[in-house]
Amino acid sequence: MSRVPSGLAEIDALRQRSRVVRLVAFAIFSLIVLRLGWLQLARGDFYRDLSEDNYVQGFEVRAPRGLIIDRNGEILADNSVSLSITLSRVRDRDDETLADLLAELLALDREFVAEKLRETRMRYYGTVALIENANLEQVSRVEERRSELPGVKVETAARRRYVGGSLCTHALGYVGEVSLRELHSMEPLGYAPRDIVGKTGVEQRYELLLRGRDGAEYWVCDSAGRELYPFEGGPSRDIRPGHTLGLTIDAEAQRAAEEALKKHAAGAVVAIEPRTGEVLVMASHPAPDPNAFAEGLSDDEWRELTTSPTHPLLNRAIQAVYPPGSPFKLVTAGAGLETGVISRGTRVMCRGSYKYGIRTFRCWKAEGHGLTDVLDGIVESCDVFMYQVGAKLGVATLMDWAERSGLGRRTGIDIAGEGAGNVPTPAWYDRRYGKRKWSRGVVINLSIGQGELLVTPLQAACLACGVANSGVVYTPHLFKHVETYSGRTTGTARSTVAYELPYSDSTMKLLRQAMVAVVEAQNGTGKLARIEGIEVAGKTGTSQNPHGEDHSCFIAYAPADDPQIALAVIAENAGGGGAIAAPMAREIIKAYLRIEDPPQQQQTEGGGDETGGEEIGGEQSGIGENGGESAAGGDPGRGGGSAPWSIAGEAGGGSNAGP
Amino acid sequence: MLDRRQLRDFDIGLVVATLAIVAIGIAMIYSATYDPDAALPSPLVQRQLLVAAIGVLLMAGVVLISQDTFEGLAPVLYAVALVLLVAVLVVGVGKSGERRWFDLGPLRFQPSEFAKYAVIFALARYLARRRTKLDRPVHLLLPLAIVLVPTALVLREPDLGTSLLFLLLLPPMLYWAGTKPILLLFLLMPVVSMALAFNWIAWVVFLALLGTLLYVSRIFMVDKLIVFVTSVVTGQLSPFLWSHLEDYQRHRVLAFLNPEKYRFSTGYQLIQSKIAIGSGSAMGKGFLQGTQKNFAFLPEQHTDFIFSVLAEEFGFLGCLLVLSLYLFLVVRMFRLAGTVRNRFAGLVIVGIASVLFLQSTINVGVTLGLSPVTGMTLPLLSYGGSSLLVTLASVGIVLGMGLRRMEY
Repeated sequence: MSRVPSGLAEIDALRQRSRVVRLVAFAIFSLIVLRLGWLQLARGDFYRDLSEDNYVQGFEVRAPRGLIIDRNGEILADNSVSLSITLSRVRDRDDETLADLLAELLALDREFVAEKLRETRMRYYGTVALIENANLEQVSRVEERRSELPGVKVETAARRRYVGGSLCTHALGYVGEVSLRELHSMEPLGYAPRDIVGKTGVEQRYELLLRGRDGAEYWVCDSAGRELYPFEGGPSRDIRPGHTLGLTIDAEAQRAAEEALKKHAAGAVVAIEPRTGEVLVMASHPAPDPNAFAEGLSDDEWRELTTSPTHPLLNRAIQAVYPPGSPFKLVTAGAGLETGVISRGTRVMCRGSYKYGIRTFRCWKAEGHGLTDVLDGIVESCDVFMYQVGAKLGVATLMDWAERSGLGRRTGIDIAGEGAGNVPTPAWYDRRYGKRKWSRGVVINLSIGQGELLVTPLQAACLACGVANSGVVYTPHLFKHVETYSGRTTGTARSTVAYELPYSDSTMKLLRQAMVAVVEAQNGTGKLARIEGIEVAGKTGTSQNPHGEDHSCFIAYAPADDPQIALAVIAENAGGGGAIAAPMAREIIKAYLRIEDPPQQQQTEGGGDETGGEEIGGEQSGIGENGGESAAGGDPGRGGGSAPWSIAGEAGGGSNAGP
Repeated sequence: MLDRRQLRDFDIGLVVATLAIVAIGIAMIYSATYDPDAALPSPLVQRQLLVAAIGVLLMAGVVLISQDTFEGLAPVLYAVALVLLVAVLVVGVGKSGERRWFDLGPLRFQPSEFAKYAVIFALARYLARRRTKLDRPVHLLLPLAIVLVPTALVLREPDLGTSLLFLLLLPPMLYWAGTKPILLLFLLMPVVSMALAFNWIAWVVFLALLGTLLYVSRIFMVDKLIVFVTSVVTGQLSPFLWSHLEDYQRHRVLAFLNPEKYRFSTGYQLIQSKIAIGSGSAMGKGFLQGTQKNFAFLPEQHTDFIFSVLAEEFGFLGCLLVLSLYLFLVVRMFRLAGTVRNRFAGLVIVGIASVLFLQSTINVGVTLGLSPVTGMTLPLLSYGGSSLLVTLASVGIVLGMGLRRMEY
């Protein structure tokens, strides 16, 4: 077709079009030349000035970051003054000689100094740090030889200091230099490279409150970069320190929690004031010392932190997920009562095991609990009772109640990184294993809080809050108030209801009664949480873990008649909940309520087997449900991950026993 | 084959201008990567020299291929381009997570460079064989599809700049094929609407104006409706598409609109580029003397921002020379397109000239702060093997078609 000769008319048309496109091209090129002329000819001198070294140099004066204090005013984070030796760009400087001199004066590697000097050439303004946190000797050596060191300065800066070392570090978070990625979104807010910003925790969440406004000074400098005199009329600015952030944390209880956790390899504690949602304790063990971050970590130290199998950077309190274990029996029993599959008086015969289909599920107590009603079922943590309730409810109903009890969804706490956990509904099993490729028998394990049901310690604490607070759960939060540097309060937190537990008043009353009995009754599994003078309500638990020792957990609130603190404690690979986690909770509650030990009792406090041993008549394993429940677990290979916990977000995997 | 008479038509000017730009480019890459301590020029310079040598041979070889061969191969080339664009999404590599290049050991190949020309061939073949008029929006659906498929694929890499280039090829080639300018103008309206939708007052005013213009224009009622409705729809879609851009793409646009606000991150390049260009003044600071460049203030100086190095070191005069060379190439090609007898050849030349024109003006526009950063290189001048090779080859195609301009 294209071989058909074009007519004369078309040749004319093409000539015409050719003229038009050439005209367009010419016009646009002219536009570019005009712009080029404007920049280079009209404004050339202006830009040449800009491109040359300025004689006036600006220096930033860093504003100190706001303090972080606990609910009683105890300082958790403040600032210390640090001296640093910095380099700035100087035209026509002999960098080779300078590198030699600096390396010799400060005993540094010459190549390192030369590299830093090269870096100064990449910067328009600001400085490059040669030594952060210089000591006085280094500073005086630089000061003595000032005239030979163009562009070398001693700067003072406020550096973040975490007063308690690793105390509360996961909730506080830490600070560091703003990354390029962060700078993209933060630059419009006035951030510049090398600014210090909160990276995690409340440091990150309340960054805009905590940061102050940096000041600026301008100096007239000679060609060697020496400051001659202040430049008048420059846009100098005074500094304004950041706001003081008041947290809901109780440092006293926080310390008790961290002390208690230190006896174990890993674990977490969350304590909340049930009537407001104020987080009193957020502890995760192991915990790094964030002061080391501010001083600057070597690559090796950083690698150690990020690859350590104990994951010290992980905030287990909100990011790790565990099977809830026996505290979930509160939900199973509550759901049973509400749906009518059991009543207050329903009794079940426990002979130590339960047959479902072709499989036998054992109770933790091999000889059985005998005739058990719902109250005893919770108090003695009878597995067989819960199996039967679970079997009658079915997976869908039981998991529906779990979801409505606040499990498997983020609470909305005011720091980043919260995990959701996992409530394995039938739809979830279908997705994971395929339709009908899984057994309805999973409900047996789920009914005692095992299997693919995963919750964060925070969610467990919220469950305790709900029971303590007649069903109302407030959104947990760490922010309590904010005040200016001079002490004027400019904002306080307001409590908002996150959700309400779906149980009737009579059921709630029974659950509370049962939790009190767990600690206070003779046959209770949580006796080691008893505190003289007040009533404690709790529920022990042992999360089975196919990869090692069971996790020990305990949720509680106290005092039972006027709950002021509700908490969840988990100690990884520690053993039974009654033996390990319950006495930990006891110490935390005592610390928060400021209950002093009477002197003569101090000895018995540590020895758990003394009080427990005589009454239950066994070793520690007899007190909790150690071992018993793990027998119930079917094939651990099916849902098992490789770590004793899993990080939120991967929670679908289900880290512990399979169905 | 070619005979003696045809060889008289050989356009020596085109060759000289092309080689001049390549030579200036190598000098600028040498300057941009200059290290006073090194004994040899940077390996980048050596590489570019090697690629240029191969490219010139390729250019000479391509001259021998007849336009009928290209026309016959057009569908195959188009299909190959699509396959490569899909493949690069799977196995491609890029600087930071994009998938733009095939990594072939020592060589890297960017299929979107090749795809540009495949699209030109496909579009030229379709338009050349079409005898009916191209005067209504429905007539343009197929050409639009030919362009949109590779556009979407390149957008996935993601490479917003190159994908836009595909779209921008349409207006000149359609115009050449006979579409009325007024229709092309109306086709642009949905895009304009998209840009204006961020300010609703501007958008409403724009729609009112468009409505009036459509009302008085003499085109079919249906077409008026189509233009108006698509403009409204694209305007409504605009915020949605904006939120689906990559972070860095959004920042590029924001930094273009307000570089000072983003002066340490995305706006940095723009400010530094403007300072480099402006401080070059009339005569420049001299070869290897650019302070902006030497102190490494200019990022991407041997690729996207090589024009800034040129402007700093050779000033307004140097820039004028280089821009004149580009304008000469483009104008010469457009003129040639008006004289070739073969419709397909004419359209291909228009396409190639348009690519050269669009890429050079957009790249220079970016360095001057006239356009958001697109990641587009300056053809023939910037460092980059795939781009240099295919551009030289494309000049060879134009030369070959020039020799055969009397053939139908």
